[in-house]
Amino acid sequence: MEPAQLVAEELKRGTLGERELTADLQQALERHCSNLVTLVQSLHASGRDRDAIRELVAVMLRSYEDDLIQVLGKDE
Amino acid sequence: MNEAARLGADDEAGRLAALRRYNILDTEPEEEFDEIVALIRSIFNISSAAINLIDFDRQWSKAAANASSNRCASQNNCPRSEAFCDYTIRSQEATMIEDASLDPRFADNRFVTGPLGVRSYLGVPLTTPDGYNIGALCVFGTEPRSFTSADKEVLSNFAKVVMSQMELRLTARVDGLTGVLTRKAFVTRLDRVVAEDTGDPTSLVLLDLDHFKSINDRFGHPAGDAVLTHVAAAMSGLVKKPDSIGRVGGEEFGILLHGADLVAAQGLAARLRERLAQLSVPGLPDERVTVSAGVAERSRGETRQAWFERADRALYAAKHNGRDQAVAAAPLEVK
Repeated sequence: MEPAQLVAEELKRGTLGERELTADLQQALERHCSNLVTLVQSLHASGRDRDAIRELVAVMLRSYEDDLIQVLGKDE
Repeated sequence: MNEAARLGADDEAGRLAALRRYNILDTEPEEEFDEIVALIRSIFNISSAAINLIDFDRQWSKAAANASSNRCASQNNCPRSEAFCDYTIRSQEATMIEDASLDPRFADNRFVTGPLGVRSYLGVPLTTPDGYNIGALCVFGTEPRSFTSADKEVLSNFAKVVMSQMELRLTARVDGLTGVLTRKAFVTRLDRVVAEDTGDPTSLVLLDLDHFKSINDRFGHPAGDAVLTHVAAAMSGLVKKPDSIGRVGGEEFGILLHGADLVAAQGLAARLRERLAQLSVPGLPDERVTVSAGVAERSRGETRQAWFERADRALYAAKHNGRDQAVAAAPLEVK
């Protein structure tokens, strides 16, 4: 699976759901996903195990989403 | 090396200021970063991985994982002069060491000669978007190891992911328009004062821009944003650390003043009003910016909510009395 597709799939499985993001947070999320795609490409190139890469992307996205949800709740 | 990175390398004061912006030094361990270093250690199949920040004179680990535990206590805080990662942030590129015991830069280092027995090391800088290397992401092992360029590439990309996570946290603390603290971050600072309850004088100034809606209505929201930005900049010029400024509402700001009693806080409010009276916002040359302010010195034992409400009531009184003035809050009623 292509790195971008892998990251997009894991993002869909995430906890953000239908939450609306402000423009700056949307940009931050896109930047983070772009960094993850580049990371996956380099992991593929270095011959790392594909299942381990998928697991890694899932863990790192969940971690980011947890922080993002904290940010979304900042004015509550 | 790009221009921004070169700037960061030559500007230690700017680098330290950048590090401080993230407000990460000496914070508690966090699962998010612990998980990342555990994954990196696993991916590299190596004994240790760490996220290290380089302060003025020390290295401090935000997260570290090794074969025996997730925390690497012996490296949690060490003199900067002994830190491998200090070399990494100075060199601007990855530092690859196959066998530190044979490397004259590190052969006598206590992390090599001591019980940790570091032999191999790969570190990449953690670089802010404006080019400052605030720390390094590293893996290190107790056996000699020859790292490949692919390893370097993987670790560099992990570092970018770590930085984008740290950037997100910064977004949570800093208001994107004005550069001052968000309401949540500002309230957290007030809560810290209340929790410490030292008895030192501490004051809160709440300010509201007068007739701000009229500026938006007559000149549009970009003009309103420009006014907010210039007012915040004027405040930042008067308020020095450890005091802090937060945007607590659309056109409402809070200033937290440590060591300031009511008289000192009123003095600050007066100086700020004088400065704003001189303020010239580009595109609005004839527009005079004024603020109303409520000033409250915290009483020992007072909750954050009660303190904030007293300042808010004083602010309301300033508005009600005709705006463009500061009003001191009534003292806390003792029941």
